[in-house]
Amino acid sequence: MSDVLLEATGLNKTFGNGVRAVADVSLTVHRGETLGVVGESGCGKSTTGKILLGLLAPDSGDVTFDGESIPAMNRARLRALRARLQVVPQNPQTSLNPRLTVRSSIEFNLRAHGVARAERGPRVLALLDRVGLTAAQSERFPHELSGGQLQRVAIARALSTSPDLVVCDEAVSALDKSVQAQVLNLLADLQRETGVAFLFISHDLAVVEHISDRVAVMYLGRVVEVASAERLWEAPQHPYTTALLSATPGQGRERIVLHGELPSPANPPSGCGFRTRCPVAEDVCADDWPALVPVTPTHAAACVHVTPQAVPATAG
Amino acid sequence: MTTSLEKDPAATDTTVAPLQVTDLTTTFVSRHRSVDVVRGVSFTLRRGETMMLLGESGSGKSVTARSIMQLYGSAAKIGGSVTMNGRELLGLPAPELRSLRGGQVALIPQDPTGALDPLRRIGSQLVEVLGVHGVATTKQAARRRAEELLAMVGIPDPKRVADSYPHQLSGGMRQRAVIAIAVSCDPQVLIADEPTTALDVTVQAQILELIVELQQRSGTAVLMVTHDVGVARDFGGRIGVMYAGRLVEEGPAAQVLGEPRHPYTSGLLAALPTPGVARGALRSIVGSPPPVGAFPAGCAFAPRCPQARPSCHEQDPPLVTVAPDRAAACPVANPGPAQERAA
Repeated sequence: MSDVLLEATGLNKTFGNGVRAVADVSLTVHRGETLGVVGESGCGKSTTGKILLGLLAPDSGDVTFDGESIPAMNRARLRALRARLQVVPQNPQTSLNPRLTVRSSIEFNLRAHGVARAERGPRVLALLDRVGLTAAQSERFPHELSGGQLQRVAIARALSTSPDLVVCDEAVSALDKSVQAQVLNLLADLQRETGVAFLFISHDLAVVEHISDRVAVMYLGRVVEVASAERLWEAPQHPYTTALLSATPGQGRERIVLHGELPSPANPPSGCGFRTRCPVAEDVCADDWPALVPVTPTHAAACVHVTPQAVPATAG
Repeated sequence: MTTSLEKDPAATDTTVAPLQVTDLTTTFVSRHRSVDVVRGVSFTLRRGETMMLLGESGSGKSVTARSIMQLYGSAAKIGGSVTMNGRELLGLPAPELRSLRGGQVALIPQDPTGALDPLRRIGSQLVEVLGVHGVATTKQAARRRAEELLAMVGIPDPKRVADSYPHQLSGGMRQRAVIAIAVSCDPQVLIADEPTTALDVTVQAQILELIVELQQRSGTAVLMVTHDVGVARDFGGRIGVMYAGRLVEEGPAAQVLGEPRHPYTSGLLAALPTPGVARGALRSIVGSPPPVGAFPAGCAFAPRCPQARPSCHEQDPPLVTVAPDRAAACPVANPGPAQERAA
């Protein structure tokens, strides 16, 4: 069994309105790891998530799950895949059926994946208990629960089919900080217990750094840097990552204020999409988007200023 | 100008502080019930000072800010006292309130899109404010001033932006335009209600920097509402931590966030993932913040508090001085003099 669970290669997606949401994105998720995907609005992180989930077909490129191509799957295969590839969406208020009790919502997922009726009830209660909800709460409707409790329900539902990978798309962003910590701890505990892998999509760098083993930074539809979470924090290589880290409030880094705003993904600048805001842009940056260059075997960045280092001083 | 103001003895006299809020209460009333949202908030904002109201959803931080401007009309009953330079604002007749809002006290709201009229050009919206408050007397002067203001808030091509409709601008540019409107009449108090929450983090950094710059230039007192501890830490000044409609801790931001005294403040800080620091489980607070309308009796934090005593569930502790320049509403926070006073 290969260590690679999910592999995306050369994904492209352009929407009808000309927005090139995802451009040449390649990502790998290993079994049992958490890959964080971080970026600002419009960087293509959620679109990437949808392609990886098989909810959106890429224009080109391929996604393999356990060696099998997702875009090539027929409906039956895709349905079987969904038991192993689940999602925790951002807003549980809208992702849970308001007319079903939370127990029914989870049972629904089990039924869809062919779990026998007699088995469903006890399994739902065990799942809810695991995420910290009581049997009494299982009979509640979504509007009767708080945001944190609903997100626990969404997590229980995602885990109900014992998936190998769960895509968490801004899964804790709508929660208050004191509650967010509980949910992050829960996700980490569940991963330790079940070996599930997470693809954790978020705009919040502090959260991503905390929960992820590795992090991919996206800008304007592209992955501009990939590294282990520690390494990204200590030695960011791409000027956008550096600016993003410094713009994250409250951690005393010298702030690099970027000028201007994200260019429209429908009308990106020529060459490197970051060059219009980049403090170290040169003429050559207007030619091409640089490819991801390995800095170390596990760290790559897409910038002309990045040179492959044989033995970098900061990393062992 | 500024130097003469700095020498002004009134600047240090709290009776004429730009903004003094005393025992503010806000109760939303409907036909069927009334809900207490702000329950006795007091603080003083001095000239050129920044005060942060930090809290989670339902803590009453935004309602406090908006109650000061009395933006709820008949939907809310507001009690206590709000004075600007010693003048009571609560109960002022509508025409006086109107001239005050946007004039001496201005608001930067969270969502710039909702704050701008979608059917009018940015320039005309600025000109209107300048006209209403009598800052510019002629149309030409108002238009000139509008463009100056847009340039001042860092908009690179003010002429074009003045002729644009809100939908033609990006979120960051719209927020700059809203800030231009807010500072157009040189307010003494600027209330910023989560001014960067709707913006991306790199744009957020620009807007925060702009607010600091404008404050330093004009000496405006800023009341900023945020849920983001990082923003509060960067902004400095004073900080008031809110929970369930009350201030639970107050003091200089660096001290409060560096050495919190109230168990809620320490719990909140411990719950934040700190990048670059050893990872592991976050120390979360059990339960969730109480929803508005269902605040527990006694200290509202007691049901979640690891240090709660039996008495905490019955008596809501008052905000008392626990150290020079620091106050907290918790018996655990203060083993010293305050307790003797209470005994």
